[in-house]
Amino acid sequence: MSLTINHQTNDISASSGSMTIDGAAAGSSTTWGAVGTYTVASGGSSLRSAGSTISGSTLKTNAYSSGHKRPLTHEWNSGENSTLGVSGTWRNMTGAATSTQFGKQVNCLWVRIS
Amino acid sequence: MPTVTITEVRNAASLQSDNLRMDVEINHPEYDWIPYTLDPADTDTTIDNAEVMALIGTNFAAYVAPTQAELDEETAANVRAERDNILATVVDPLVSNPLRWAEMTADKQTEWSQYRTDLLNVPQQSGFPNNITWPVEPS
Repeated sequence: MSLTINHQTNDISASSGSMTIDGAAAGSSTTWGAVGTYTVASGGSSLRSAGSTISGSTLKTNAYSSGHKRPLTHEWNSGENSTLGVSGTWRNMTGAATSTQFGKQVNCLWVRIS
Repeated sequence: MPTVTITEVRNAASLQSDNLRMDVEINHPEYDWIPYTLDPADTDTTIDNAEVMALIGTNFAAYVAPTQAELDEETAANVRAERDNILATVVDPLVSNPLRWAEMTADKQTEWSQYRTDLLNVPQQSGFPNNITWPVEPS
């Protein structure tokens, strides 16, 4: 079997048999904010189990408005609100449930899945 | 070109007064119902946001602007957190390390002590929380 890609019609075809192209998985991306992008951010004060999803508007950024650096391990106090400003759906890839600890919100690793 | 077609949405809520940016749940063909932030400025084209916006139509919760008191409270929390971060990462490792502290001249010790005091007093500034002057770190 051979695959043919028609650059004029953008069609992909197989000479025989069947062909499956699975584009469902979110591969990594180097375009910031696109599906597949990873980021470290806080998911707010609610419990975020490993693999759970949240909307992009919920994520909080790692930068202060004045330009002071906020370390990746920084924990958020209640009331802090530095929205990351991303779109779509993000999945907790930290591998553990995360929420508040000692009254602080913690950082997680997130990947955009849609 | 969009590669995922969304045909159902629910629980949409506007995130800003122009109703362009919204939080909504979408019925994703792979992930089922998931939360999604819809933004016309989104550069990712996996999902057709215009199509999702059409599905939402006028069926969304209106944007509720925060009050000035809520905004001030948020800003104050941010400033305090920023101040605490500087104390924890810049000042305390220096002033609480006896060896590093002993290496400094008396003038430098005074400068750093004053810097620490000024940071602690940031919430006491007259313009706090919206118009503050950050103390300058000693060289």
